[in-house]
Amino acid sequence: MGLLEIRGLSKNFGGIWAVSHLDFEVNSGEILGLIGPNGAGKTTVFNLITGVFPCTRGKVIFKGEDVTGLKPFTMARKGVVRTFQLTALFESKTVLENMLISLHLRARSGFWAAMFDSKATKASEAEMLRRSLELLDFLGLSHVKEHVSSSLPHGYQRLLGIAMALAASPQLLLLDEPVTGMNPEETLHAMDLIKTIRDRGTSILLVEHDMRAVMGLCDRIVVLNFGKKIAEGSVDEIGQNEEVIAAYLGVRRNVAEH
Amino acid sequence: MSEQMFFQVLVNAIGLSLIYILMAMGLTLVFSIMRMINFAHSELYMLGGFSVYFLFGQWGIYYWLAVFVGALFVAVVGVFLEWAIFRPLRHDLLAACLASLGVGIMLQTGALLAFGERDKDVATVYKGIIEVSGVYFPLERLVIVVASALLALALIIFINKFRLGQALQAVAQNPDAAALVGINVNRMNGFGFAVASGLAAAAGGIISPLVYVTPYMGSTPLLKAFIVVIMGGLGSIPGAVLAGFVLGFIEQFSLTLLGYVGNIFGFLIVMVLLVFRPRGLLGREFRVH
Amino acid sequence: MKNIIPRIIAVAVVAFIPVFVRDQRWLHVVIMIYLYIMLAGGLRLIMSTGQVSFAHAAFWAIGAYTSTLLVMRLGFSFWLALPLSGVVAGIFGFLIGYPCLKLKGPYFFIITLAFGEIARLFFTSWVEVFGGANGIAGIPFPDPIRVPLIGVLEFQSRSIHYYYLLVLLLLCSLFIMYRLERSRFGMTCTAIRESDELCASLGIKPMRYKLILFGVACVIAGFAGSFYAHYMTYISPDFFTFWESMTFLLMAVLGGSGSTSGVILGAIILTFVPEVAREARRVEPIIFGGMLVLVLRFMPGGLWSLVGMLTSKFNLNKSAAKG
Repeated sequence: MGLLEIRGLSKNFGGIWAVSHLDFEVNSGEILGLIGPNGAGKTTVFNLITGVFPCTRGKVIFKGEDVTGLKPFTMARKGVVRTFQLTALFESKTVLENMLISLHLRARSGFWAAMFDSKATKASEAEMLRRSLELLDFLGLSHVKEHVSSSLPHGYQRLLGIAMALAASPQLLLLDEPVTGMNPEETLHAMDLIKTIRDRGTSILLVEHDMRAVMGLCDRIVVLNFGKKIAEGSVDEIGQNEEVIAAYLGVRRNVAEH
Repeated sequence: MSEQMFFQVLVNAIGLSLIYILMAMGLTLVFSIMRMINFAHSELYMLGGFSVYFLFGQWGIYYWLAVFVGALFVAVVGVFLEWAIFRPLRHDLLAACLASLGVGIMLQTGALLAFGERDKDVATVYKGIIEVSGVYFPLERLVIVVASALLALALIIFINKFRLGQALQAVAQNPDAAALVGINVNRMNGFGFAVASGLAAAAGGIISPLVYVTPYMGSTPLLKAFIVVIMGGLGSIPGAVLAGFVLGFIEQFSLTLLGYVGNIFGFLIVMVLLVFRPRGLLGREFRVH
Repeated sequence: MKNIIPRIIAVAVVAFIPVFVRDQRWLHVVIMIYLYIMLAGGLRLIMSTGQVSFAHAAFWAIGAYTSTLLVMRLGFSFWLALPLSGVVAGIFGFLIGYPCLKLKGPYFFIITLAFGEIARLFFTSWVEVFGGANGIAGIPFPDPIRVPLIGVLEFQSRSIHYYYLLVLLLLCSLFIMYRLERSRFGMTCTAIRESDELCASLGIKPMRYKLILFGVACVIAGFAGSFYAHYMTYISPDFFTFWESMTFLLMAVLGGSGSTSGVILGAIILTFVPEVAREARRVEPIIFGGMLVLVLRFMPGGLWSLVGMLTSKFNLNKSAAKG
């Protein structure tokens, strides 16, 4: 039994099946890639898992528990955190502030904690600061920690998005196109980070278009087209799969280059 | 309720509905194009009323010409407001709404200072009573009903059948796509705002013989227009028409039967609707762009 | 520690105002300022999560009417009615807030507008209980209270004791407002205002914060209402219209809705200036409307942000002078 199980997942938007009868698993300690042409339903799957949309049919099971349809903040509490395709940051706030906010699940953030700034609260906040700096350091963003997040170059913004998701201490991290828009150098750096995140114990479900990243990072791959799974397997298996190639012209060429 | 009374209440209900519809159409039009709620809409209505008061009541200009000129004047005011205040605030909708509140306050107080607080009377244009199969109606009321209906109809036809109107619809649905096909979105914003303002002013002018013209005359119609717009669905003109009739009928009959407290129904409906079906009767989930 | 000195000065000023201000009219102005700070400040709390409420005057009214009825119809002591009014207003805040806060942006604005009107119509229509459009007159003064070390305090019309009671209420309210603003709670609220969705994905429950702030703001409004009723000794629905709600909004926006200090500035300006320029009373709405438009257009942070800019320039010069 995997960390995350998707069984028969289906979503209907006004008559169109964006996702239908999807079955797959993410195992503990692996990086599973979710790929497919544009509009195949990948981000919808993320939205269904994290409870942004209710599922029309099917189940989402996390660590053996049925979490279908739970709200995003509940999923985050259970250990499933996602990043967003269009970078979601608190744009008016600095990088450090973004991190501090993201540590919400670990901090004392209640009403009464706010009323009385006790020693315990002060200690907790000092700890949050320490963790923020640590995470920023890990992602290579320490030097911009006082910058307003919207002023960062695109690559840094996406790294910050990942840092914020990490701050929420996920057991399963859903990365939505983390390296899209990054140059080759940034992409390699991000790939290293993602591998390290996995090595440190966080399982990863990765949606990506950049085939280099997909091939380089994923242990297994699930391929979607028109909301249905058309293939599943290891990197090599997928590279040879005829249906995938047909759906996704250009995969073979990319694979051959590496 | 006697038959006579029933038909009179019916006609009043239709008349009330149509005024609400005219106000609401303008509000919803501005919302659909610019995604903001114009809280100064009531003052534009009021300016229309005052225009007719002066042009027709004081200077003797032909009534319908006065209504038209008033609407034109206020439309120009609308263009200015959109250009000077609302377009620069396009990125911050809350600020735009609050700014419209400020503009409304300024216009209302300005009118107070310029024209005084006392109610102004616009003389009845169409005097007399007509009889329709045993039921008697004041002619003025019937004329107002017909005029409002024609105006509402004119807007609907304009939006659907004329190029400019269709351009407005395009901007409302997807400004980026509209820009791609060569529509000048900024100019459409200004134009849409002008149309909405003119509509409000025309409503104020048309109804002026029936009510007192005062700087405060727009407040209640605006409140009711909000209800209609929400009920019908923000951004939907057919919704505004449907909801306008629903509210007008509910209110007219409950006011007749229950008195002043009948006003409460409109607000209750809005609250219930917003909790259970915020997009109203005919609205769509809108994307904020 | 640097905050202590200005705070002590502020408290001292506030404590000694009645000593220097003997004129009843001006003392009344100051009292109104304090009330507005409590109310506009509460509204600011609600706005810090991005929800703009137009119903706040209704909760002020609920506090006032509750206190009046408890004392006049049920014979409660004012000193019991005061906290109870806060509680009742808070309960209504949670009850109304729960369905309404699920809405965002213009929808929330309109539903609060609707609720404000419903409340007003309710108080105006139920004549036997609330006195209808004529309101309720002859509200008794707070009964005399024994305060340790000071003795028995009596409350007659316009006595100084009202002032100090309100100061107490104000200080408690400000404590809550500042603590909420400057804590992690406040930081989370401003994050919610920027993006509900992003916050939820990080484990934050936006509804919880919005509801707490709404409830707290309503409790404060309830206290303000109770005080107001027994201070004015007469209340009517005309005191609690959407114009009052708009005034709170104006104060928050004009002063700067980003901070409690901004709201204090807004409350002082919008209450004080019309009193000073009595003749300008008639043009006052135009000026305020104009200020609102200008501030929104050119100074989104409110007037307080102007102060911020000036003080940072001042600090810049100071450090340049030192270095």
